[in-house]
Amino acid sequence: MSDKLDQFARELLEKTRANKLEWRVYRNPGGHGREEYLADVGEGYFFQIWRWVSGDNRTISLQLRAPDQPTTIDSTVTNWPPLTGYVPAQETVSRFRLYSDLFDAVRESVCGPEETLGKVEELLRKIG
Amino acid sequence: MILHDLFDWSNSGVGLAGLALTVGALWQATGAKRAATEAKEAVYRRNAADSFAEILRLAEQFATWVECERRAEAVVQVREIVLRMARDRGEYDRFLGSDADKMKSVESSCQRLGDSLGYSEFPAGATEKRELFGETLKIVQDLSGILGRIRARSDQEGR
Repeated sequence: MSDKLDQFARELLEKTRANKLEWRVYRNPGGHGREEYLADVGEGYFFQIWRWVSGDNRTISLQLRAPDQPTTIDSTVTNWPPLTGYVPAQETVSRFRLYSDLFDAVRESVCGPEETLGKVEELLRKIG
Repeated sequence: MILHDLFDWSNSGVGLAGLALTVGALWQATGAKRAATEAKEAVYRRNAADSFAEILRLAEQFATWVECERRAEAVVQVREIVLRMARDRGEYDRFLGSDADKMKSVESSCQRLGDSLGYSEFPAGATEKRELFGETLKIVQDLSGILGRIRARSDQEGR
């Protein structure tokens, strides 16, 4: 099942970067450190992506919600993967990168690039 | 009289043979010394290649930690690279040849990345991340190139 969601993640990344998908904020990172976005792909199907950050630890999950179904299909990756020898296995790193790139693309498509946020922060500081 | 001449000739002959033997022994000793020096150089070259291969391995691990967004591990790894590079550059400088400057530049890139990752959060923006991944990959690429050239020179000189 997660193979299928990995494939969807690749497609979602492509479409998000090409601005073909409209994502919206589902939950802002509050004290819980979880930031969540949602995209409607039509006919009652939704993709939801969330990232939980705590220090250096990151968990990213992609979920598919189908109409009239209480359960969701999801795939979750973390950046504290099982180690092979000393470093993380390449396959785990690749999956983490795919989900992290997708999350960053989604975030950028909703909030604008990080530079925009930096600029706004600077302007707000000027106001005092 | 004839006997006296014979003694003179035989003495000269023995003297010449001795001289020839001495020259031969000296020639052999010089050859042996050269062979020993060459063997020592070959061992040094081999050690230099092994040390830089180890630095490359650390750089590849550093790149993996960066891709995993594990800041703490990446910082530890890159600092180890900087320390090893300084030591090995000092020890094997003569084998680096034209790569000595390149090595210094890679070392300062590692130092800069170590400082920036050590004192601030892992970049949150996609663009910043891409830049960081690009820089990390460049370090691995440069070190890989340097190691390849050290090995090629070592092979050439060994022939």
